Amino acid sequence: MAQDLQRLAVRRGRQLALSPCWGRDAPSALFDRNSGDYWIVGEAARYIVGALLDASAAPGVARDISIAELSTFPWSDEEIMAVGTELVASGILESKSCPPDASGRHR
Amino acid sequence: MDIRLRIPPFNVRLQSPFDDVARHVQRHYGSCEALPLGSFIDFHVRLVPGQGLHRIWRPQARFLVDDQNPFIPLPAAQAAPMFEWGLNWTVASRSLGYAVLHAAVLAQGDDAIILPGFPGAGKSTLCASLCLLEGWRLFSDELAILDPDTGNLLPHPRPINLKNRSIDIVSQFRGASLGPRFHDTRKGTVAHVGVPDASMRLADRPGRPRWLVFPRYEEGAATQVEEIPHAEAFALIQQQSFNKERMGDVGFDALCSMLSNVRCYSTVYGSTKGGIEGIHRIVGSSH
Repeated sequence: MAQDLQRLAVRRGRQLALSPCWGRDAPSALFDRNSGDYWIVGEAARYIVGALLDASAAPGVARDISIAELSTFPWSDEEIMAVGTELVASGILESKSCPPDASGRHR
Repeated sequence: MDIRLRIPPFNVRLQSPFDDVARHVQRHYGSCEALPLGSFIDFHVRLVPGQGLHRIWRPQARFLVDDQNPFIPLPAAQAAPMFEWGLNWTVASRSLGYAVLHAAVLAQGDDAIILPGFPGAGKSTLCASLCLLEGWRLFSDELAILDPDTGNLLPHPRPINLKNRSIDIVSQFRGASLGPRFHDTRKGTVAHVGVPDASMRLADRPGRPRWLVFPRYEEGAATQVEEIPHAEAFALIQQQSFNKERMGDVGFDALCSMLSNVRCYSTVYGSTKGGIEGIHRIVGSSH
């Protein structure tokens, strides 16, 4: 699954809310308004979900984000990929793969 | 009996033919404001006799709220504790606009401590010891009522429900006003301790949450106190939320906001004195 993970989006049917940030390196609570499900997530997961929530709030902007766009200090591509994979496996997010361009490369 | 009472923050109408219930209400709610006819009523409670044969043979009591019958009948001799349990259920499931948690709440001044009621916590005994021996203001021994608009905790002072061994312990506390014991209930022997007058006088004064403490009683254990992360406290406290489904994201935001303003702890204690000592350590470390 990790190799297919190219873009991430909030899983259809979920409407997520994050708790306040309770301190540097501290875990956060993540809540789905539609189901009442909640999770405790680490800092990297908070960052990913936060970025997706910000993206979906902005009008006219794509609601999914690529791994490459998400990778930022202090997290590497690999760390973002690993955390993203866990979030997909938990049913919080969903992965979206991109069709290859004319050269056969995936964006 | 047909009375309308202000039991903050709610208005309750109670109708009952049972003498035990009348005595219980007089004893524990005698200082509550009686409301005039025509007052808005949040909950209309009726305790009524059993149906058919059970009116006279093995007489029963039934609890109705707003003309609905949510429970199975109990022996008529348990009508008074049934009123307390039923009103707890009613507040937990039917209060509109408040997030309600299964927890004891007390305050020093307006600074409130929340003690969630996991099994084995010893919550009610600890609550009684803080209120009767240490002078904490009693909000409730059972229900933390959180106002999402203000972030305040609202007092809901009602008699402390004790069961089995805790009755013997608390009956020794100076100032404890204990009602009769009710035997053979589904919780064993139960009894009720009256709310101190000072707590009743301040029943309309809210408190600000300052400490969230998860107690656990282990007989003979030395007192331990540990500060825990907010996310861990969230995972624990939301299990004690009675109406989280109905409150939805308003309840989530209210709980998160509360957690952002409190320090969270777990404590293990092995005696009344140890429980009080643990709370002193927590409260003392915040000043």
